[in-house]
Amino acid sequence: MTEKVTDEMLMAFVDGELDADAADDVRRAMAADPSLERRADSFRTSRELAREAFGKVIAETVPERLVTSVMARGSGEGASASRPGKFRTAVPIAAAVALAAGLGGYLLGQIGTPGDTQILGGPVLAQAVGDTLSGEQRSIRVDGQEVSVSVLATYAVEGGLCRTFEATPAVSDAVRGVGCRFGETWHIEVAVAMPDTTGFAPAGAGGVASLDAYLDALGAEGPLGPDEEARRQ
Amino acid sequence: MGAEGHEHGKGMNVDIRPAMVALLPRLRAFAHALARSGDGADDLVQATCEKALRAVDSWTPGTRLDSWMFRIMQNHWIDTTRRERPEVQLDTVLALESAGEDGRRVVEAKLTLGSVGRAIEAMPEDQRAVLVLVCVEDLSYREAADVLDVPIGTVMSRLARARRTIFEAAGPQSKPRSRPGGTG
Repeated sequence: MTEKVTDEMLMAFVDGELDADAADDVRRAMAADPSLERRADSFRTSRELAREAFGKVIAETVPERLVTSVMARGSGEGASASRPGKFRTAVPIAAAVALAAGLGGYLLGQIGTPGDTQILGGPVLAQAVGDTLSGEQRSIRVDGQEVSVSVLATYAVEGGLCRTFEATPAVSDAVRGVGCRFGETWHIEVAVAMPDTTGFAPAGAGGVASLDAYLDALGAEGPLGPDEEARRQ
Repeated sequence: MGAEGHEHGKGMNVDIRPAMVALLPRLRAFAHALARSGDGADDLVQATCEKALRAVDSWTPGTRLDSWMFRIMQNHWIDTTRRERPEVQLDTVLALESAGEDGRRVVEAKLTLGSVGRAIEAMPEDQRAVLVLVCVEDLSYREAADVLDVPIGTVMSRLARARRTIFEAAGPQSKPRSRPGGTG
């Protein structure tokens, strides 16, 4: 390329912000000029340094007063004029703290990624989790997209029933999560992107382990056997 | 607002509270970029969550909850510090200086101790905010620009400056640990 490669172009290249053509241009320029690679490296390094500097803040256990200020709002129970039946009881504070401590900066926080919330936030997936027994799988359609839903296990918890599931949309990353029924309807309570998607370091395995912490905090014991599950279904 | 049966945090029948709780660590990180002190950061997070819960109906399911909340936090921070900002910054500078003179004073070690942490704390807030949104919260340049309500070019120039600063502060540095071939 004839124009000089600026720092900002190198930075954008390193951050994956350039389109394919522009990225190719930069690669060609870097092949011809080793000093560009050094400058690009400085941007990779500074990105890591920033993440490390804030890693401690992200990994800290969240002060309980923050969790309480979010979860203790609202009446938690009560009938809706527009929906028959009760809203489920508010998530117990202990469960919410397990959520925050374990999941940290994981992708769960991005409920609202285009596509994901349509899938995770809507009633179709929640109902599918409710209708599917442990070890079974079904396909659903959400917003025109095909999603494969597998239920992993079912647990009795304080005040209701929960299921761990994996939802794999056709064109985006799989999520693993917990759906629960505390009253009459099932809701998706928490979900994490599967470990091989991009997420905040360290690797996403901790996010999946935190689904267990969430269930523990709700008082789940072992997974239910098929007879017990059928009884509670 | 106040429709019968409409509950706090449950806009359009989506309860965002569990997702919000899971976001708290990341909200604290951005709050720390703005407020710097640990208590100030947590106060900012709490105020942001309260505002977000009240305004839940203005969040569109399908859009990023984290970006939406970062935006609320940024706006709230500007609103509450605009009057006080010169004094706030001065106090913080003095605190950092006096902590340096008395070697035994414990500085809130929220960031990595050392030159990088100090450089981040000392840089202009505008640069620190962009640095955290892009490099720690993994927002794209476009998303960071939307949160901060500035053009993308501004995000890039602040980001480049911030990163040059911390790279220099780190001193003789080895190669980065990971080398994802920058993709387009």
